[in-house]
Amino acid sequence: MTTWTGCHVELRIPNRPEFVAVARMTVAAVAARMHLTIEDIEDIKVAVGEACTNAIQHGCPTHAGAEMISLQCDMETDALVVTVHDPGDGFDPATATRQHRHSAITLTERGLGMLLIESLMDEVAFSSNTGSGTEVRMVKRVRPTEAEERG
Amino acid sequence: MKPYREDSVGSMNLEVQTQSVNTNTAIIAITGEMDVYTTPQVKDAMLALLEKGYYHLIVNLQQTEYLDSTALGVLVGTLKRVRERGGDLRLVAPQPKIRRLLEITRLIKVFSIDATEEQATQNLAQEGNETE
Repeated sequence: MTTWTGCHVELRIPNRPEFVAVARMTVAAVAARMHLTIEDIEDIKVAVGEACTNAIQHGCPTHAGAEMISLQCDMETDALVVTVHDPGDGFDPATATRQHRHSAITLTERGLGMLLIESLMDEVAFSSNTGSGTEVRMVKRVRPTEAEERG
Repeated sequence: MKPYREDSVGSMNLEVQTQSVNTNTAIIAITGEMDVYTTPQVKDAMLALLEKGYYHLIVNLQQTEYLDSTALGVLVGTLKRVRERGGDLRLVAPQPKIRRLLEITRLIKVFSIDATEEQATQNLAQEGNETE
């Protein structure tokens, strides 16, 4: 049992691009508290940034600033679980992820973003329904640092 | 060849410096974080260079600490634009964490990457000679 197990951090940001950095910094601080490696923290920052960017650009773009995007960090013994939710119209995640099969230069920014999220996190689950928004649940497992491995 | 600093714009998390190398080649040095909020500054700087006839662009990423899909989209879009005009866009010295993103997205095969601005300038000049 670690000191952070079971701790929970929540953040709500306005649906505006300038707040994506706030989300990134918050999650990075939580990950650092869990002693994740620098590389893993960088991965999480990019993935969370992409999830928030997706939420802002596609979640509820017609009401910029009016809707809030929620970010939830669950600190588990062996993993950091980050969930990003937007209250927008939703989309079909399968359509976006299918773009991976295309050449990199023809990928849309959303396609690139989805590819990054799926590549950088250990587990990713999208759930999106018309009218109820979109939720991205991302898991990064805690790996022992080199110092811990050396004992 | 005396490059001059043509412009420098920036916000809290990003600074973009552009400088001319010769009549058709320019360097864009990006310091800080390129994300959905800050990347439009880079896009504007690149479009301004294209409007002035600089179709050979060197994007120095040595001081770029963060880059997302919005930034990658702008780099790819600019690459397409300059190639349509017979030019090219080369990246310089991306940090390992940025290079990793280029590898994941397979854009590492799309962009040419050099270790220094001087090397990129030479390679662009060589490309120009080969196409003439």
